[in-house]
This record gives sequence, C-alpha cells and structure tokens, in this order.
Amino acid sequence: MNGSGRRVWIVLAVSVAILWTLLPIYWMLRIAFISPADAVAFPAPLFPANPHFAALHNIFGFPYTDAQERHFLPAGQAPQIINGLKNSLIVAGAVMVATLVIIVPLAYAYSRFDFKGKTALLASILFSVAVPPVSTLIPIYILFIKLGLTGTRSGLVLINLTITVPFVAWMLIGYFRNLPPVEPLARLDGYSRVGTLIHVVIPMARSGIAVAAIVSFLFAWNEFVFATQLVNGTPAATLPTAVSGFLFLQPQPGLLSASLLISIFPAALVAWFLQRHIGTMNIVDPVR
Amino acid sequence: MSGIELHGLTKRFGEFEAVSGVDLTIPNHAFCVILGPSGCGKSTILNCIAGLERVTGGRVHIGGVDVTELAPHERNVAMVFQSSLLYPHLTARQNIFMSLKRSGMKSDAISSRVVKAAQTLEIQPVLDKKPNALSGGERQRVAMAKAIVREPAAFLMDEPLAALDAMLRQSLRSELVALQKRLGTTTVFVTHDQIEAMTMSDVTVVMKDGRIEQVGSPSEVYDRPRSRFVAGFIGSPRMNFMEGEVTTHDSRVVFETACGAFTFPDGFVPGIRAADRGCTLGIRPQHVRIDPRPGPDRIEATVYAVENLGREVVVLVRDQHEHVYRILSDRDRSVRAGDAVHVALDMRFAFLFDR
Repeated sequence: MNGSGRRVWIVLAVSVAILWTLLPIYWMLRIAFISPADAVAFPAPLFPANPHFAALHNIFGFPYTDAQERHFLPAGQAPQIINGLKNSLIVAGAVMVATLVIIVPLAYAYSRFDFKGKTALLASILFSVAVPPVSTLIPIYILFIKLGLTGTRSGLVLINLTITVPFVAWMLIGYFRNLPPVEPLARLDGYSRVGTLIHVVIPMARSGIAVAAIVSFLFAWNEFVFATQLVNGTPAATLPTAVSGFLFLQPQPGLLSASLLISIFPAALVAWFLQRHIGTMNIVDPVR
Repeated sequence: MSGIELHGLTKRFGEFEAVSGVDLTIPNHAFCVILGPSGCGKSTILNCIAGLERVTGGRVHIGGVDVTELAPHERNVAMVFQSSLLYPHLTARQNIFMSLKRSGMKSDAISSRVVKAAQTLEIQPVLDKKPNALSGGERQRVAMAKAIVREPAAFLMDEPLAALDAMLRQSLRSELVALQKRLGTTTVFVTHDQIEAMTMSDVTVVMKDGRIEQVGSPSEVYDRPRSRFVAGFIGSPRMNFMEGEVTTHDSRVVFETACGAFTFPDGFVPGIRAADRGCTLGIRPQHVRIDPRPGPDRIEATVYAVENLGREVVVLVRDQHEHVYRILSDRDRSVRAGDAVHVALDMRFAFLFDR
C-alpha cells in the first residue's frame, strides 16, 4: 500500500473512532441545551438554534424563565443530584488518594526489591483483576450488612479500592521497573531509602502516578454496580445512582441530559489536566 | 598523604566471592584504571570504595581516613555511574545542585559552586535542559560537573563512557584525563576496555575472578605482563599464544610445539618456574611476520582472513592444527585468503607463561 492510500485509511479509521465516541456525547449535550419542546419534537433539530439553559438551572434547584417568558420549575431530584455530586467527589477523591498511598510504595518495592513470595503475591493481585466484580457482589453485600457498611461512603471507598488497587498495581509496577536506577546516585547525594522514595523517585515518577490517579478517580467516579447495591436510596448515594433515577422520568430528557453533563464534566476536567502525562507514560507488561 | 588504600578487601554475595582479599594503594592525585572482564569484581571494588556495598572483610581508607563504616555521602567521594546516569526529571543545573543539597551548605553558596563547575566543564548553555534533551557528550559533562561540584577527595567512575559512540569516547577520554590532571583529584575509573586503561591511566590494575593480576603503569603492564591473562587482555590485536615445552639444546633455549621448534636468542633465560613442564609462549602480532621462504623456526599456515585497519592489516592464519595466529603486517603485502604462507616469530619479543 502506498503512502497516500495508507493515509486515507488512517483518516477514515480515526474519523469512525471519533464519531463513535463523540456522537452520543454530542447528542446528550444537544438535549441538555434545547428547550423541552424541541427535545420531544420530531424530527429533532440537529443543531439547537438558541441554546436553552432551563435544564441546567432546574437540575441544580433553580427556577428558569426563558425569552418567551416561559417558566421552568426546579427539578424535584435537584437535592439528590447535588448530594450525589458531593458524595461522588468525596468517594472518588478518597479512592484516588488511598489508591496512591497504597500503590506507590507497593509498586516501588516490587520494582526494586526481591522478597519471599513476590511472584505469588503479584500473581494473586493480577488474578483479582481478572475476577468479574459482579461475582463478588452478593457475598460483599451480605458482609457489608453485617459490618454496617451499607449506605456509607467509607464502605463504597473500600469496595472501589478492591478494584483500583490491583488494576493500578498492574499498571505501575512495569512503569516503576523502567525508571532509571537512580538509587545509588541518591545515596551518594545523602538520601536515605525512604528519602529517596519521597524526594527522588516520586517526583521522577510523577507521570505514572498522575495516570494512576486519573484511572482510580475515574473508576470510582463512574462506578455504578456496587453503588446501586450498597448506597442507592441512602444519603450516601453517588451521582451515577442519583442520575439513574431520571431513567424513570420519561418526559424529562433535558434533565437527564443535564445531569449526565454534570457527571461527565469533572471526569473530563481531570483527564484534560492530566492528559499530557498519559503520553509520557509507557505502560509495560509488569510480568517479564 | 595517600589517596585510596584497600586492605584485604573482600566482598561476598551469599556463596559467591566477588572480591577476594584485594590489597591496593592508589597514590594521591593518580588516575587509576581498574581493568577486567565483566564479572571480575571491578565494579564491586568501586562500590565498596563508594560505600554502596558493605564490605565483607578488610578496610577502605580514603585520604588517610578509615571510611569502611561510613555512609556513601560521608566519604567525601563523588561517583559517575554507567552511561553517566542523571536524575531524568531534573534539569542539568538541578542535577548538579543535588550533589550538595543535603550537605548543609547554603543554597546560594551551592548555586555559585554549580556555576563554577559548569564553567569548568563548559556546559553553561545546557544547564536548564533535562538529561533526555542532552547529547551523550553533554550528559557525560553534566555528570562530571555533578561530581566535581562536591570537591571530593576521590572521583569514582563506573564505565562512564561505555554507552557512547567510538568517536565521542575518544575525545572524552583525553578531556577527562586533562580535567583530572588540572584538578589533581585521585580518580578510580572502572572499565573493561583495555584502550581506555592504556590511554588514561597512571596506574593500571588488571583484575580477574575477584583478584588483582597485576598493578603497574600502562607500559609496564603492556611490556612485562605478569600472567598469560594480562598478556591476552592488554594489547590490540590480541597476543598470540602457543602451548609447548621449553628445552635446552647446546646452551640454547628452544620452545617446542606440535608444529615446530622456535629458538630463543642467545642469553635468553626463561624466567618461569616450571620451564621444563608444559608452558605457554606469547607473542604480539607485530612480532610475527609472513616469510616468503620456508625454513626452520617457521610455521606452515594458510591465510583465512585479512582485516584492513587502514595503516596496516591484521592477517589471520591457521596452521594444520587449526590454531589461529594474528599477524600485524604492512598493507602493501599482497596476501589473500587461501594463500599458503610461512610464519616466522621474532623470538626476542616472546613471553613465556606458566600454564
């Protein structure tokens, strides 16, 4: 295949991938910004002529009056959405921090030290990634009832960690192993082992750690299955479970879209700020 | 005042003894190259001097101070690592700064030392670049600046030139020696490249299997190798070796091999203990020549390769026992692979080694 032919195929493949990813998001944004009348019109307009902010106001509990003097009342679900947003931020933030606190020393130790049972432990960590989370749902639900952890944010953080820790470990061990062996350099410069980790290795590994942070934050932010089981309908409900309530309110597509927009926004923000690290980080198979 | 002294230095890793009772005195201001094949313990010795490895036995003295029990940063040494290792996430300036960051010096005092070191190495233009934006030579200079900024009692270098291309290596060799002579800091340089040892060192230490084979100036080690190993390791192209026996005929010493006998010049005294038992004859390629005429003291051989070095050629010949000899010869000699030749040895320059 010659150069330009190859180029055509690449452009085509990338376009399909972009459409595949962005079209549903565009559709959702479109509905969030059109008036309820347009939203149910057939055929629906492809581009909303005048952006309409009723849904976005109502979802946060504010009334809205548009140019035609039409009044839109606050959504009844607004308190749940706001509470869910708060819970999701707390849970995802806590999961991100806890994952890093656990995983950075773990990945570093795995990349630099030999100890008894190293391979077996790594294999068991990786195996737990392979187990579908749903298979542990019922046992965990029973356990959480006994421990009084249902309907709590800390319970949700705990359950998220069982998935983010092995997954991020799998990513970061290979990354740490590929870092240059600066330990003797740091020792000559007067750093202790712990000092080397804190003052040299962590700054050196910041790209990998940033990616690990994104992955664990986004996982916890998006987590739906466990949240539905363990916190739905309680004050600890997260945003995805709160948003899912709109699925039962058929005449309100605008509110559903607006709440989806809220749930996508922080995730997009995190990914945007940390994306430059994704290119810097080479994920290498840690089992070699 | 002495530079570096090792007394009975021993290092074991489990069952494996990497360094076995090494005694070595490196004079102050000397450039010492420790040379040996990989796994001979040369890097381990360096790590023991630096304090990165705890010694199993023996003592290490630097500048007259027993540093055996001190931590690496308390030993007043600076080290340049393999491939000029630097912190990849810091700029050249920050890398050099790190050498003194934990020394208790004030930060502006360190900064002026950094600038001075950068001037010495002529790296001011690249001070704010990160290591991956530097060329191999610049990285090497930054690593050197990181070492000299500490103004240490000794520089320790672990194959710092190994990863560079041949041209750059050559120019950095002389640059490094010039810098060391200017600063006068005792330097220990570890390498497996005999050319680096020959060109850079005041003192060459040849090591094998955790022990020192020979210590001496480059010319001593080249002209008077103490063992077959040293003779084979130093010099390029490699020395030729033949197995045989030494006998005496009519007061002349003769070396007898399976493919002929070679007579030593008058007055030659085989300076080895077991001369009458089997021993090895060593002769450098420049002391072997191709002779057009057959005769005694000649080896019948066939040319199987000619390597052109530019100014001269290395002719590789094989005798009937499949033994290979290297001959350094003029280029104008028209020898081609497949030619049958007679090989003559200049026995004035031959060495005898115990087997």
